[in-house]
Amino acid sequence: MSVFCLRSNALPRARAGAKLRAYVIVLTLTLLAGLNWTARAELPFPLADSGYLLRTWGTEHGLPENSATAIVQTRDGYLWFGTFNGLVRFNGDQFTVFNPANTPQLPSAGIVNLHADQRDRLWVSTYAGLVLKDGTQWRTLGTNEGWPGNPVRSFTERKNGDLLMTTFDGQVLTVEHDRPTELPPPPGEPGQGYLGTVDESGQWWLAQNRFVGFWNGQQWIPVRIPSPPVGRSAVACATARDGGVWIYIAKQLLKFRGGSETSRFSLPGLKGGIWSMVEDSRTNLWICSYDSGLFQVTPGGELRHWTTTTGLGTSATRVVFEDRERNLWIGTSGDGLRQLTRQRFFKVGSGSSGFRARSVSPARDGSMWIAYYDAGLFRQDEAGIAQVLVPGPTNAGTYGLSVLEDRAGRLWYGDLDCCWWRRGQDRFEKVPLQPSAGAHVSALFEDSKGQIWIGTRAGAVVYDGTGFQPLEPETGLPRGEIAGFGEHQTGVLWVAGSAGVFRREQDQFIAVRGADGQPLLGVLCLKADVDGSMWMGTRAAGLIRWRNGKLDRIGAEHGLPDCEVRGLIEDEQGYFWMASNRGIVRASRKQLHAVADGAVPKLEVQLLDQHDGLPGPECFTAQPNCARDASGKLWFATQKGVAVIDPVAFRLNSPPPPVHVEQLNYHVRTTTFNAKEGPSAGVLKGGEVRLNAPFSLPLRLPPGANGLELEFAALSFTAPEKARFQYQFDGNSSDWKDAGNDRLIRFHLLPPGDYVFRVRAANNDGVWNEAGTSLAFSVLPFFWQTRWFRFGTGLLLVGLGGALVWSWSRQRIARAMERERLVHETQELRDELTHSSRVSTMGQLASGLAHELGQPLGAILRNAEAAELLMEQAPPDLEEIRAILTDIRQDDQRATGVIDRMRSLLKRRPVERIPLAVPDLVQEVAALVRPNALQHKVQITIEVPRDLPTVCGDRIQLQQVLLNLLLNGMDAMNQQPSGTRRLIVQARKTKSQMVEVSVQDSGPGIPAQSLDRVFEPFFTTKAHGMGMGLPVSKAIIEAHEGEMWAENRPTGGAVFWFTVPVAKGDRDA
Amino acid sequence: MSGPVVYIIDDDASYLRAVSRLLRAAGMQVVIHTSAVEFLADLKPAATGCVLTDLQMPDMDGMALQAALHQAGSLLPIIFLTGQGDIPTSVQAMRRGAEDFLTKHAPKDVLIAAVSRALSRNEQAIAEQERRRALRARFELLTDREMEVLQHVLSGELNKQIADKLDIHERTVKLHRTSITTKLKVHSVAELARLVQAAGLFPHLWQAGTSSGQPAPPDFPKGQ
Repeated sequence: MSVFCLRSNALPRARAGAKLRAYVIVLTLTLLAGLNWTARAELPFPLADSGYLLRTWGTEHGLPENSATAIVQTRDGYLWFGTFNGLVRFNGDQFTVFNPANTPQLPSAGIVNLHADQRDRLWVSTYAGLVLKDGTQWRTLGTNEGWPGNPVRSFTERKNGDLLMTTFDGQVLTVEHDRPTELPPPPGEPGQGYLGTVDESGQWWLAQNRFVGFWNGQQWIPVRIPSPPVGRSAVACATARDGGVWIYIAKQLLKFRGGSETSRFSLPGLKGGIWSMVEDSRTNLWICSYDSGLFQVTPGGELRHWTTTTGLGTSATRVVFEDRERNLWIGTSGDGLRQLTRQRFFKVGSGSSGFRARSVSPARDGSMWIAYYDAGLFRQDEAGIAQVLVPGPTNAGTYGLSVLEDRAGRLWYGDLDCCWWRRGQDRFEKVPLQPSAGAHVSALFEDSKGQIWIGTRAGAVVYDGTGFQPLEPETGLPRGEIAGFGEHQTGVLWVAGSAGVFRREQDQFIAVRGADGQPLLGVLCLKADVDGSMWMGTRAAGLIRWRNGKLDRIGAEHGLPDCEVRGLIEDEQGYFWMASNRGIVRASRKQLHAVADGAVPKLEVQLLDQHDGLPGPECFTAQPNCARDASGKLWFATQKGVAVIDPVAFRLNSPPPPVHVEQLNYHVRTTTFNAKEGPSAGVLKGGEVRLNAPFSLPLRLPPGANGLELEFAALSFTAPEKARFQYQFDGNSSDWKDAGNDRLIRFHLLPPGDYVFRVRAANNDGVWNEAGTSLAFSVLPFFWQTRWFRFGTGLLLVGLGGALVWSWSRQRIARAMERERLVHETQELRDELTHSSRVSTMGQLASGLAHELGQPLGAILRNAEAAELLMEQAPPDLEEIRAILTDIRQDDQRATGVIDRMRSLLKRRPVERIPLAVPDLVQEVAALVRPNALQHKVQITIEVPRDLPTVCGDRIQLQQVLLNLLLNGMDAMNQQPSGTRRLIVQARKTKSQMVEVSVQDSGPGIPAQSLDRVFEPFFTTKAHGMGMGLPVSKAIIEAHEGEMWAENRPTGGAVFWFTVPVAKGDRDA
Repeated sequence: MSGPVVYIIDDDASYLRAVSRLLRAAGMQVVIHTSAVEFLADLKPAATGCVLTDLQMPDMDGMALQAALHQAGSLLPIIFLTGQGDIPTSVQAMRRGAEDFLTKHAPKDVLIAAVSRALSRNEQAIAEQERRRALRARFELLTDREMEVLQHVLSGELNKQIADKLDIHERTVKLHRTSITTKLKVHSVAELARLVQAAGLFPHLWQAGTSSGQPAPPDFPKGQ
């Protein structure tokens, strides 16, 4: 799981005089000490009933040692851990280790305690001395700089920045002007350390088993302890968030305010030696015991004890720290680091109730019905979960598919074989379904009139309160699988199934069609909106909004994390929750409308998954697979159990993550590299240079630097895997390029010039740090020629040779500058060429598109003429005229759709790389060429599996390539007999994380002598061709890091192949 | 449904609905189909009216439909509708006897006029067919041998030539001819030729040398 990643950090300066030595040291240190690991901890799991998800980090993830003695977060967002084998900085992904080997100012690798002060300095207490890290400066405070000689046990800072330190042997110091001064010793047990804390008025407090008291400016004033300990007692103290201090002594938790005790808890269950105590922002008090586990005193006063056996996995706790995102970090002695994240989803039920939940439905009495595929029908209420037996010829209850309690109190339960129903507590009875094989009741729905709609694999049945009525094909609803029902705001029933989406008007089902007139296939769920829209979740096309006959789609390009939407539900706060393949997606209804209207380009969504406590990322396609109970909580049936979330309690992880560029690597030709270029530069073998943040500015890269790598981090710790990055490179454009969750970017070719690299990031909830960070650097042009010039002066050929070299170097410089200019121009030209080639390709579509447009326009004309005639009649048939007007509007939208589709491809638009679904790409292009195919009598077969991983690319450019290949294929078959013209589009995933797409025709094939020339510019076999289609396609594919090639099939016809890389999120581990 | 019907065929449901509305509003009876196959499946032999079909359709296009109707001996005239004027196709369609060839955007009056013309043409064709059927009924009285002799007579052959070809006696040929004229109630060969032509029999006999659809009567030798 862990990826071993070798690199150096905070390397010593390589001074020119000690260049060689520095290289050796750097190399050695890098190999020996400065190890930096990529940390990929296993997914979090819920600590039963605690409300937290637990995650464990250890040496296998890059910690130098399995302990964390102290934890702090510096203002720049990094987390710092003290271990017995070095100081560790954590960015959510990698642990960077500082130890005496790579940081000589550290006197010892054994870290006892840490403190980040208000001036953003880091105090490091080691076994052998105190170190103050201020920015990039490390300062060691030895005994002659005021270090007491004994390791510092506790740091306490008050609001004005004064610091109180206590040592293990009983000394107490304050720090003024960074120099520790000793305070008079308190009257406690000599030689025993104190723990310090501070109250809201800035008064220092100390606690020890023989003394608890505060400093009044002159002396230590003891406070009275109700039942003081006899002999040694575990002691701890902490600042109370609502004022005062907490003191734990002799199994009592006391709160002092202004010198007197204000409240007291007895904690007899708490045992063992205490290392530290802290109160978190939710006012939980956490007490870390050396050997008896972790104790949590909840705001309600309840004591929770977490040990090895209660799920924490350790009992040797040392420290608890709450980061800015309110994650809790627990340092242990020898058991690694624990992270506690608040759970958002809670799982319902137990192992005995089954795992593969299909459907949930709230009951009128406040309980919840659950249908499990692997266990049958269950009921969850306050008392727990219990099975409800469904009688049947066999154990029919086993394969539960859907469940519904209607408003009349009837219970409906569908399984693989039949559908059951009962009134109240009556016996279950069978619903008469169509006698086709396998009922497979996939959808149950109650409409506003109280009718129950039952959808099965073969069709639908409706119960109107008196009897069951099968919906035969005469009603307009074809036979086939039903995915779900919905009811429009106006009371019109909608149904989605394998034959498309239908709307019921006057007992007849009318197909809802797309702008191209095709039925809407692949719709999995329906959700009516109060504004009269109908939302449709689809298998691969994301979310579709129907509004007044117009369809708008929201897909991956709008930021929808998954284009498969299997369930849709709205909470009372105006948010939609979508059950998808990758988790539950949350988005505001208002924003979904704005995106569908085209007013907002991108959605702000949250993808909630295992990191939020969701038991499984997938919900099955079933209705209802999600439900809202009377209290507003949302229930989801996932393939690993039922999860419930309270949307009211949902809080965004709102702090934007700090973004840092951490490292810059590049290659140089070793002969031209001068180590003076960067103070923290290190050259590794092969001319590789690694520079670490903080970079010394201005950052100048030597001539010929190439293979640039930039590593960056977003400091969000709730679910670092879900961080997302975007970057810009030239600083000229305002377009951000998506880097997914990659924390590294490579640029192979780097012409001389000035660059600004900007990066920004979002955390797990999609909250962006819009500003991000930037790094300016320049790549110097070649000037090593001047050294040649210097050598030249030493030679006799000063005059001629020098002049030659001089003029040559001028040319080189001029060329370098020219190249810099050309890079931009070439890019512009390439975009221009790509665009004009696309326009020319679209030209070939023109006749087909004219036909596509002609249909609706012709229909509009006929309708208008008919209306004119009808108006002349007395009385005019207004019903018919109304129908005409509806049709005219629909045809107008249809025509607009054709134009929009055309325009989206013709539009000049910056290139973007986003995850794309190959089946959608192919289908959209196929829809474009369909009229041409019809004209040329070409049969197009698409064999693209639905479950292909998404690819990373530019939608329009990839469609351009496909379009080109399809049109070429059609042209190639012009001379074939009309019944034999076939185009086959296939796609499959290859082993090398690519998707391979092929377009195969049944034409005569490519003449053998032309086969290797087809990708050459201006090479064409067509009378009207420009010869640019294929070269541009190949250039597009190569820019996508894919390949393109052509072959002749042995059975005749040509095949064109291209490959595109699988999107990062979809790659195999 | 009685009376002539305009059968409209178009794979585009919306245009289909619109054009049917227009023709209904213009007082015509209309039956719609979204594919030619479907239309052919539903077509009754006795159907009267005309066909208004889209030229470009998946599965079976307008030209294929024309061929199928022709083969089935249907009298329904065909008007083609096309999204864009495609000259080679229209020429081909007209040559095969299409009634008209219109674009989908043709003005209402042109469309309605074309349909009306097609309907009246169908009416005429049916009347014509009816008449021929009545005429042919008369020919059913003739024996096979008499039909054979009739063909030779119409080819302008002399009795002895006919006798030679059929290997019968010349007198027998004369007997057959008398029998033919008696049964068909004609008085001269010219009259006989007109009757045969009106009944649409032996069309191969008047194909040669005719360019208009109307076959010219054969050049009969004067006298016997």
